[in-house]
Amino acid sequence: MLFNSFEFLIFLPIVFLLYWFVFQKNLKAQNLFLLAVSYLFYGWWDWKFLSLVILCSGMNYVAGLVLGSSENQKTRKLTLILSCIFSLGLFGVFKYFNFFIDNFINAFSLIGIHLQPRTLDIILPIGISFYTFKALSYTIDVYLKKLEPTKDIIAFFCFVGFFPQLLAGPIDRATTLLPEFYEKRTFEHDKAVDGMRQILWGLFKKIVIADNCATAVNTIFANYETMPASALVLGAIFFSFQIYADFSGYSDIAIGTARLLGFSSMRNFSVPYFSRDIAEFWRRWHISLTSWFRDYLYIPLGGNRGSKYQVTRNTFIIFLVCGLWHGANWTFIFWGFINALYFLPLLLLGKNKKNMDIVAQGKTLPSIKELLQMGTTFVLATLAWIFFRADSIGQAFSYIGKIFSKTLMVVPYGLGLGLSVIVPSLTIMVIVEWLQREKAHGLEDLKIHFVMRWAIYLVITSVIILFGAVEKNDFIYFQF
Amino acid sequence: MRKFIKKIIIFLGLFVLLLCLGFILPSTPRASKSLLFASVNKNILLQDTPPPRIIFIGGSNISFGLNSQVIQETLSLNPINTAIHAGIGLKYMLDSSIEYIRSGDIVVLIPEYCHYFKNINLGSEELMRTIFDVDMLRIKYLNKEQIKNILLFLPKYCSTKYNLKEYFFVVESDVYSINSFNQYGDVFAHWELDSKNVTPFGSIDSAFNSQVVDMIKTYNSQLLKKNARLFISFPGLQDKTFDNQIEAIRIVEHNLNQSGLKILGSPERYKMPDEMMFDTPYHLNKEGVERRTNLLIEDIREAMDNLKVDRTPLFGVTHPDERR
Repeated sequence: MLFNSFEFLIFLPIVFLLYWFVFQKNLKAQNLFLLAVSYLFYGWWDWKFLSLVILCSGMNYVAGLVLGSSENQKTRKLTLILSCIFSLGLFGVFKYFNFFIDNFINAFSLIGIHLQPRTLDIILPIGISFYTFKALSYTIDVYLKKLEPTKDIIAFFCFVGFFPQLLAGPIDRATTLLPEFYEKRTFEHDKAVDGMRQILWGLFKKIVIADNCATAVNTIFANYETMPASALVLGAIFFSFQIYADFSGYSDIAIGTARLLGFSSMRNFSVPYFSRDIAEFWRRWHISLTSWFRDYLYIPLGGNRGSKYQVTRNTFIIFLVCGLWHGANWTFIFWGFINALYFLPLLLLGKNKKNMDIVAQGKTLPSIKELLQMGTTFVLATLAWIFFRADSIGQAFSYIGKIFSKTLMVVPYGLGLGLSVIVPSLTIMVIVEWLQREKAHGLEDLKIHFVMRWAIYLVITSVIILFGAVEKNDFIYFQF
Repeated sequence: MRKFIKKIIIFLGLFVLLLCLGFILPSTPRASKSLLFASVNKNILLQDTPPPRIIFIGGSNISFGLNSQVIQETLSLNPINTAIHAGIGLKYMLDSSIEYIRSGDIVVLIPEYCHYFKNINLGSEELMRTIFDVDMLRIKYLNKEQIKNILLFLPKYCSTKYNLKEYFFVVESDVYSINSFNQYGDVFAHWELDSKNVTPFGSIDSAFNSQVVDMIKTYNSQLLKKNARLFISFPGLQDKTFDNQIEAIRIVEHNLNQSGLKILGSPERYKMPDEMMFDTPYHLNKEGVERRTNLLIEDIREAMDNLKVDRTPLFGVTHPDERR
């Protein structure tokens, strides 16, 4: 079920009330209830694929136990390898089987050999990219002895299948989230209230910003050959905001929901479009995934230690794998490749850790230099997003080519893009997130009179209902 | 916990209060100028137009796609264009028209293709506005399913009453307003305007709803009891949209052909080139209106001639040759 659906509007209050009033007294009951509702939440989409969640959880639980009970390095290594093969194999088959078969056929046809292997009619199980990585992080951390293996099977299954994060993250680590399942959660008023605020802000970003941008973006990309260049520029910019608002909105709702149930979840986005360079952007975008790749792939490969060749190789591997993680399409891989090209110069020149604090810290407005830096980073990121959004690499290049034409100065009016909703709501989001850039989310800790605060919450709720897009759009990251 | 629940209840209470206040506020100046209010005049036409009558029922493809004066002059029938917007829903269009149908009436029903899929025939936001803005008494035409459908739009409707743009700087649309209709119920305000760039619709991916055909067959039976006649035809649709939706259109055509209902023309016959569209794939410009009207006249004439040949009484009387 979607977070922005009528079903979830009924589901969440019932879960909340039962969780805190009926199952709160006993830890095991609390966890069992959470597990049941998590599986109900996932099964609402397709109960058949629930077996994969259970299988993945079971495999990694057993792997953890084996790793914990053996000191033999060969056994431990073998267990880790088998666990990785299973988790990544599960993920790989569902996600990439047909992609690799198709490219295999194409490669052979280039040399005149025509093959006819069967492709399978495979549906991508929702959330598989997220829960497999979550479960795998547990096994790897147990192998590295960063974490004791758990014997509490319910707690572990709960951790992997935790419904707020099950479909699209954040990919919380076992070292931080799993211990929260060992202790009975007690209700914290301030945490719950802030969780509600975060949910509200997430819904605003998803329903008002992302869904309205999606309508315009879909129209522009579907008809880019006949649209003026100015509309293509808007299409690229709107897609940048669409994917940000969609995914960060989902993350806000997921984190807020977890907080309502007494859990702390990691931050997934930290105002990435206020980054002053690409390295900072990648520290602020989809933090749970990028840190996963950094810790479990980049660093084991050697990270930024070693020769320039090794550093370059590792950088490309990380970004290409990140692209591939997003989907079985060359556009995602090329998007990763472009970001590697952006990132590498900063890394090789040692300038990738220049901007570690938040921009204009303690100040109201950025300096001209900071504004230019943010603008440049945004333009670079947006150019890369075009490849992410396009149906093919060729279409993306064609799209970019058409931007540089005479119609760049034509006002994109009368194209039915819904600018009267998108522009004001985007402006509000950017202003709010700028003013709150040092906070965890847009509505955290607003230092104004409670009457004003409540008025703002009521207005945001009304705006969500009033200007929410008519077409219901799935969260973008569900397809990954 | 109590403090938290109390806050949630107070917040929800305030929000519901705001919605209720919004509901009871009168229609906004912007809404009052909408073409949905034209339904009042169209009902007057249905009451007052003398026989012999030909009544057109459907979505904006008919309101933006007919020249009823030409129909009157050519077929010697008094036309009534009841169409306003597809979003009102096919079910409501049929249920609200039946009480006005009289003996001898010819009814030409032209649903838009989307009406045959999923539950689009039940109506959406436009139906809700027709009830809550135009005339609350029309709620009598709705069944439970339709009411449940429109209630989903209620919070948005109530919130609209707080939108300042609904009260200030309200400029009446030159095309989409209550004053855009002629004396037959055709939208004619756009006939002298330039066409806009028409973005095609994508494919229809929802499931075909066979209950829609059953609903039309029931309507046909009701008409026959009143000694009126029903014909079904196809919308004048932009060619690119037609090609995108060809699979869905074939399903509709097949089901209608199997239904036993009297069909006028075929989907391809009403496929319109891009240059005949006004602003959406279903709205025809003046040239498109003329072409579509002429095609429809040909089809209606052929159907009426076939009925005379079949000796099927058209207006409740036998053919003169049989009066012996």
